[in-house]
Amino acid sequence: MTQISDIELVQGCVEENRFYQKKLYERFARKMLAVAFSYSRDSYEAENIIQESFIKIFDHLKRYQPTGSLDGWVRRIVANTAIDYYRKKKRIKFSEVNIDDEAYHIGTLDFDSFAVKDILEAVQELPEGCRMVFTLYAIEGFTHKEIGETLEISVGTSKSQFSRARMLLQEKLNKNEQRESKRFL
Amino acid sequence: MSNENLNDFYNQNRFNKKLRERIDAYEPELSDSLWDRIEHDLVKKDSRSKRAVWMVYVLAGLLLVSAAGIYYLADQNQKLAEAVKEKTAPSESLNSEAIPGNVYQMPETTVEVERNPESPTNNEAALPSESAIAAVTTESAPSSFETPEMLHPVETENSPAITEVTFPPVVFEESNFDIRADLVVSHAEETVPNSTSIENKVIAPFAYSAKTRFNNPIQENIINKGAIDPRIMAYIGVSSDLGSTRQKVSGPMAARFNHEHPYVFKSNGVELGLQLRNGFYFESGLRFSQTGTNLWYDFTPITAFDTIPLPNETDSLISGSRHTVNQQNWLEIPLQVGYRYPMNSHWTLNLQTGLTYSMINSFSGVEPTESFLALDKAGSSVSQPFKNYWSLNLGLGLGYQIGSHWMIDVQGNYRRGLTKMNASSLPNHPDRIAEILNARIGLKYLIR
Repeated sequence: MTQISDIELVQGCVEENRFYQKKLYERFARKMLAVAFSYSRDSYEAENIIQESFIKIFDHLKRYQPTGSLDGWVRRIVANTAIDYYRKKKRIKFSEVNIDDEAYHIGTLDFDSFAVKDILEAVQELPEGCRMVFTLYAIEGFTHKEIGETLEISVGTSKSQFSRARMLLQEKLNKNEQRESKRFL
Repeated sequence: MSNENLNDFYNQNRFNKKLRERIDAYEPELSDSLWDRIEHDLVKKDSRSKRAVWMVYVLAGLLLVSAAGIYYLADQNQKLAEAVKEKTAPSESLNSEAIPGNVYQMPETTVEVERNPESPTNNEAALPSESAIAAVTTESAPSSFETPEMLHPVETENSPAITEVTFPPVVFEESNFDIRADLVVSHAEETVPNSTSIENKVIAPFAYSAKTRFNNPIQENIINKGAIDPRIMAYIGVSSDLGSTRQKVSGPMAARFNHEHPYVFKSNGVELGLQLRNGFYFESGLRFSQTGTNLWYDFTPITAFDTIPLPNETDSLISGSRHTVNQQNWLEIPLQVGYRYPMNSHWTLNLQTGLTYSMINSFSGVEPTESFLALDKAGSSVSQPFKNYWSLNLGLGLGYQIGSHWMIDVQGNYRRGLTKMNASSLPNHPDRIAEILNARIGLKYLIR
C-alpha cells in the first residue's frame, strides 16, 4: 500500500475528509501518546490530552505551513495542549525547593538500563511541577528561560524543579529496579 | 562556566538527547475507543457549525421578513396618505388666498339665501342658516362668523323668500383650526364623530378595527391627525422567563427511574413579530435558557421490574434518591401565532400558541450509565443524554399598550415536547419528554 504523503494528508484533513483524518491519527497518535504520557499523571489523562490535541490539530491544519516537519508541528500542539490542560485545571503547583548546587550537579542520569515505559511511568509519578519542567527541559528541549515564560515561573524555580525531578526520578527508578530484582531472586 | 559545569551541561544534553530519541521511538498501545471519542467530538463540532450556519439563515430570514414588512407598511402609509390628501384636496384651496402666516381672510361674499318662511322679519333672519354656511364653505372656510352687517331682502315675483346676505371680510387665525377641519370633513360629505371626544386618545392599533369603530380608515386618520394605522405592523421585543422544567419518562424503560423532579430555569430572548390590525400576530425569535444546577433523581430499585438485562445477576442497579449537580443550557427558536383581544384602549387579553425548536447545546452533570449500575459524568463514559426537540405551547396573558409604540406583555405558558429529548445513544434509558411551565414578561416596540 502506498504511503500517503504529508501534503496529501494535510490537504485531506483541511477538506474535513474523515478518511484522511483517521490516517493522520493513525500516523501520529501512538507517538504522541508517548509525549502525552510524560506530561500526564496516568494513561487516562494522556488520552484526554491526545483527544483534545487531535481536535485542535484538525481545526488548525489549514494554518500549517509545510516549511517545517508535520511531526514537529503535531508534537508542538500536543505539548501546548498538555500545558493548557493543567493550566485550566490550575493544578500545577511548584513547591519551593532550595537550589542545592551539589544536588544540581549530581552528574549524568543513566537511564540506558531502563525501559522507556518504566521511565515514563516514573516520570508520571513525579509531582506536577517537577514533571512539567522535566518534560519540557529533558524531552522537549526547552531552555529554562523558555520554561519560565511558558509556565510563568522564574528561571531559578525551573532549574530547581528540574534538579528535584532528576533526583526523584533516579530514586524511583532505583527502587523499582530493586523491587524487580527481588521478585526474580 | 567551570569545567564541572561544562561537563554537567554536556552530560545533560547527551542524556536529554538520548531520552528524547528513545521516547520518539516508543509507541505505546492506544485504547480502541480513542479514535471513536475524537470522531464523536468532530461530528459534534460539525453539527455545531452547521447549526450556527442554519441559525444565521433563520435570523437573516427573519430580518428579511421584517424588512419586507416595514417596506410594505411604509408603502401602505404612503398610499393612505395620498388618499387622504386627494380626499381633502379642496380644502387646500382655502390656503390659496391665505394671508402669509397663520392668518386667513375671507373676502366679502354675497350669497342668496332662501329665507326661512318662519322668519317674520328681516331682523330675525340676521343669522344665516346652516345651509348658507355650508354654501359659503364650498368657496372658503372661515373659522367663525360674525353677525352680517347687512341683510338685503330681495323680493321677486317667483321667490319672495330669497334674501341677499352680504358677509363682511372675516379674518381668522389657525387657533380655529378644529372648526375648519370639521368643515373639511363636511365638504367630503362624511359623517364623522366629534373629533374632540377621541382627540389625544391613543388608540391601540390592533385593538380597534377602523371598520367597526369608524366609517373608514381615512376618517380615522383625519381624526388622528394623520397618524395612519396600517394593516400590518412589525415589532421587535425582548422578554425574560422564569419557570420550571421537568422530564416526563415513558416507554418500556420508564420503570428504571423517575426523572420528574422539576427544576428551575431562566430564559432570555429577543422577538420579531408582525401585528395585524385585526388582533392576530405572528412571532419568532431566539431565546437562551439555562436551568439551575441542583437536581434530584429518583431511581427505582431492581425489585420493581424484571425487564432489564443485567450483566450479572448479583449486580444491583442504583436505587433511591440521588442529588446531583446538573446544568443544562439550550437555545430555542419559537414560531408562534397569537391573538390580542381588546378589552379597552390599553389592555388586551392575549392568547398564544405555536411550536418551539429547542437546541440543547450543553449539558454538564451526571447520568446513569447504560446498564444503570452507576452514575457517571455525561460526555465521558456516559454519552451526552439529550438531543434537540420540538414542543408545542399554549400561553395566556395580558398586554398593556403604552403610547402608540410600546407594549408590555405578561404571560403564563405551558409547553410540552412533541418529540423526545433523550439521545438514542442511550438504549436502556427511558424516553424523556420535556414539560415546561413558565411566566414571561416582555417589552415590545411597534414600528408604525
